[in-house]
Amino acid sequence: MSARRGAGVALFVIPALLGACSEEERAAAAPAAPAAVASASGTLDLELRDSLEIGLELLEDGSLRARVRAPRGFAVAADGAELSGVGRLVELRESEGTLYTARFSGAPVGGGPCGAEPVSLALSLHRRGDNAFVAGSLTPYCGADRWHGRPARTPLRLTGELPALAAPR
Amino acid sequence: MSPPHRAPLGLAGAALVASALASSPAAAQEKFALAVFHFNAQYVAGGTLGFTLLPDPELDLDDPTTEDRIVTESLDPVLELYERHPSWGVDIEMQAYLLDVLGERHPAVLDRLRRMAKSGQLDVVSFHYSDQLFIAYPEEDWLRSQALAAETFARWDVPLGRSVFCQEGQAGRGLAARMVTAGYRTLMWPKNLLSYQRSEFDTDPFPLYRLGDAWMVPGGRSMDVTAGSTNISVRWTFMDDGELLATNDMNPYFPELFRHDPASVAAYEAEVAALEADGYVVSTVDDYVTHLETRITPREAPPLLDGTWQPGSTRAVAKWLGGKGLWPEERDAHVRSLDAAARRELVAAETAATAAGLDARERLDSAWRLLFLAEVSDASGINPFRGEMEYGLAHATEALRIASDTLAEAREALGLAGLAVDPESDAVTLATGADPLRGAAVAEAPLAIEVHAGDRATDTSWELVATGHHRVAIRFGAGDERQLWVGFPGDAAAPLVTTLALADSTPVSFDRAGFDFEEFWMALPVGLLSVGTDRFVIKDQATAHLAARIERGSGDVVFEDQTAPIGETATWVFHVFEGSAVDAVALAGRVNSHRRIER
Repeated sequence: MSARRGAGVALFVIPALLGACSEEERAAAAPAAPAAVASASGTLDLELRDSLEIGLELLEDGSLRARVRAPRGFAVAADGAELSGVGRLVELRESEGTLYTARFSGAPVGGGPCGAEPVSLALSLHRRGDNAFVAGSLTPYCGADRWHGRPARTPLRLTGELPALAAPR
Repeated sequence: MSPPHRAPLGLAGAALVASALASSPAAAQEKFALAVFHFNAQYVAGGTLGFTLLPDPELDLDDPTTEDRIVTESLDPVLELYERHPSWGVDIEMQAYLLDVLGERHPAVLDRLRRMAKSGQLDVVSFHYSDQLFIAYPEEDWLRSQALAAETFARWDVPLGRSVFCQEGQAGRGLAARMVTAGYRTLMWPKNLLSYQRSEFDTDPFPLYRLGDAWMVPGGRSMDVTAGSTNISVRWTFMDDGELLATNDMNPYFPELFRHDPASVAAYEAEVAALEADGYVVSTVDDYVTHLETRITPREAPPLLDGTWQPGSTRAVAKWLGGKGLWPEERDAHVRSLDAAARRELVAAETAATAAGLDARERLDSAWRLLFLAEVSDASGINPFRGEMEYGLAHATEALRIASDTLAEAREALGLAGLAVDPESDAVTLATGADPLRGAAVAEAPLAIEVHAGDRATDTSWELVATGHHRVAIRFGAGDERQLWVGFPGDAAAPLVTTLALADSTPVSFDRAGFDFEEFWMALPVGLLSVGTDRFVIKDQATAHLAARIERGSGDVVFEDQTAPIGETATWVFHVFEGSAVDAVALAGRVNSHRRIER
């Protein structure tokens, strides 16, 4: 999927860039990123015949960090690029479900439904009870920082097994 | 009865009147040929991609391509056929979403449709934005869906017909009042859904019934009847999936075969032309009813349950709510319960956004639209393949996400650590961790339920929520058994009390002996069904949205899922309530229509 800009990308790019700085410079340059308290990763089916690598981290501030990468971007993201973004883990106690969400800011994709506009993508995954099976979508919207409205295309279907988030070892 | 509004008769109507005058005044023989073409852009929701075991570029069509084929191979040839016969009236039924497809990608076809609709030759019939299983959900979903459908018709400048036919032939008595309010007039109730419940519709057919303040005609039932001094002869020349007529009965699941076949169209054209030559007026249903109401005294429609058009082969609505189809990936309870969870979140998000003063109208409307698409019947029946099932799940989770994001934003705007949102009272307060629909565990069950789980371990736990109100959770462990069910004992002598689709607040009582079926399956739009006198079971739709099987000779009720995924657990929740029907309906609303949640 596409290389993209936005808040999510900083989580992954900034640490690499800061590698050349001293500890003091690093501390002055950016606040400490919240640490992950639990994580899970796996590979899901994307639109039935393709795949998507996914990593989720529950951060100590309660937010959820998500990274996804798919060999095929379906004209709403560049093929093979990594997307990262922040969202939430929501316990749906009344229905014994869990919702994982994230927002990604994507770049324009030539020949895609959004033309020269950037593509905003939303991740939504639902787990029923304590099952490993999750299902949901990666839904593209045309425009920067726009995660609702008429999707740019039919939501991309995601299914597969993803373990429950566990404390990192 | 006064119809809600009356449009001028179209060309077909004018021909109809001319024919009628020619044959009066003595025992007039009045002949009508009717047709309803049911088109569905979501025939293969999500497209045929993945339908075959191995990838094949010719067969792996995405959603828009599959929709486009439906337009070019089947819809447009039917429109062309009728365009060649301007005096022939016809009903073209579609979800409003298909108008969006036409407007965005097939403007010439839309122009043709619009032109014919405006001339009065063709009625475009549409009752929902998406081909959703609306009789299985609280009325708010349909109200919002129909509003979007009406807006869509206005946006594309296509007159919305006054007749009603629905996806899967869904019909119910509760539709009548909603129809009149929304400007519709006549419900085409599928003939098999009539005769399955009451054989009198077979043995003593009649062309026109009163259904509250609306009309009902037995859809698809050809008949010759004498009413007063009028002999009515009606022939239904088509009432089926519109996709099949112009393609030699092929359907969009098989794109290599789903092609416009001019010979099929010509054969049908010849059949209708022969009827016309025999004196039949080829009419829209609306013009036909306009004529009937001046000629005959309609009958009152008897008590009828909600259902779908082929109850014999689909076990009423069971095929979409737990009944298995051909493909192993089907997971009905999961699909339908996730829809219920998403709509629950959306209803709460509406309340929270208002309380927080958020400008969330556009985003919530977009989430509702996704929910309508998620509720498409094909995601759980008749034979959903994996792609259709995942289409439902994908749309539902995205609707859920938007609602959840809105709740989070409201929480931040209100400065609360956690939200308690009660859509029933519009109250948004600080979360307490308490759930008014939970109670203290009790060892003694108020009634003996039966649980079938095959090789799966089960755990049944009862809670006392309030006097006369219990909650029961049945946990099914992982296993290989796909057929799970829970039975609640009832009383055959007690009336059947429930609510009907699009009439959530009104309990309705039925005498079982008045029906001719041995068993029937009910969708329960707010989850409510009686099990004995003044005792009710309410399914929690967000955990166990399954059809309720009833029997004419028994009061027992069974909820069954034949599609439970192998190796996965499930928890089903029901409420058992003892009290009045009015109070039971109110509780069902709190469980399924406007659930209090904390986030």
